[in-house]
Amino acid sequence: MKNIVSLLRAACVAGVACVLAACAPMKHNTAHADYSAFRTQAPHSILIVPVVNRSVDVDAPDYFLSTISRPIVERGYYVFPVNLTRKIMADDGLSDADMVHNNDPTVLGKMFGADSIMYITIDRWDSKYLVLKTVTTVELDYVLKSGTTGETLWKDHRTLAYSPQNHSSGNAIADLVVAAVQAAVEKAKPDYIPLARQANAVSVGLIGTGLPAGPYDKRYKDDTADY
Amino acid sequence: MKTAWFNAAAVTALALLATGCAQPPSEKYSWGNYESSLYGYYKAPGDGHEFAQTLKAQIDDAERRGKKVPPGIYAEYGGLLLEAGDRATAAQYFQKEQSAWPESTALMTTMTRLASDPAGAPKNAPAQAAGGAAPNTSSGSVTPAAAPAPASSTQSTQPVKPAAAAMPTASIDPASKAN
Repeated sequence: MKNIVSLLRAACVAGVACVLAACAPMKHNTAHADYSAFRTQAPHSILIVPVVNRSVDVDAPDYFLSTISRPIVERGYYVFPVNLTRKIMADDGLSDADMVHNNDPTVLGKMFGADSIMYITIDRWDSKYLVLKTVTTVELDYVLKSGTTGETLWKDHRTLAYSPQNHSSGNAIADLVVAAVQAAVEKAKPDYIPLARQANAVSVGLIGTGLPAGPYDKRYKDDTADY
Repeated sequence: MKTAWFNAAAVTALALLATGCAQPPSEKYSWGNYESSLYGYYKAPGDGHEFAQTLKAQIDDAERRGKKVPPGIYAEYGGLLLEAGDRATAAQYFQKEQSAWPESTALMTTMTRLASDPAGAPKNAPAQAAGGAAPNTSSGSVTPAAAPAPASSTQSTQPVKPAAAAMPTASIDPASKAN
């Protein structure tokens, strides 16, 4: 009885610590990117173009698109409406993401009136089933280019993995059964969206490597120490 | 008693971890159900009617509460209205986007023109703007901004072909690759 109480206490503390850590969008990071081009260009608006998909999941680019606007908007930038952009580009024969990514950013910059263009590649979007454990992984590559000069202003790469965690109930057989069921459930319906959201949040917000505060953020131009 | 308390706390902490943390509530904007309804629209693509309704609800709710509508939302709704054929209301929402977000001016001017021009080819208009802009910047800058009817009626007589021909040249031309 005492063991269970202390175990739960430990789990609670660990849980709260995890919550706090996961909620903090900016952690301290030793890496520091070169923001000179970004600061010179100082983009106010960001156009998100069709996402290149290198994963095994054909739905990944569309689903991902539903997660990317909010973090960048919250960072203080004007983000062009992703669904409208997608439609306009498809109607103009620009739905091939690879082709769009290889072309001159200034053409799109002029077409949409965008200061900068965000090119995202999904390298991984999968769920690997290992009987007692399923690991769901997203791996994303971000490149921001100037819509006026075409130069690269910012880039980032994120890999995030998730595996359902279970508490030990004290009964080894029960634990195995629970683990097997959870692994199967995660594999059957992997939830990529929270992972993608977290990857975006970390990518955009991390001190030293994230996006500097945009014009609609109160720390605009005030965060040169961090970015 | 204590066990039950710790149980509840641990479960709550885990629930927060699983669902809440990647999405802290926004201080600046009212997002409504934008992300989940966009996801739903892509998961089960239909006529966008449900997505449009959610956007309208988000906009109305934000305006009623005096909270800011996030960038692009008015334009997304306008785009869906345009697709559904309600050009007049679409134009209104494009104008709202332009007033709220000056960065959207170039695109919203083009979209408003599309929505107002009944004989135009809506799908190729941004291409026309770019096709006009690429070879000759002065005519390009005039074309999207020219909203009055006489100008738009001359634009509507422009055949689609030049735009279609101009677009591939503008985008695929190897000489234009900056890399």
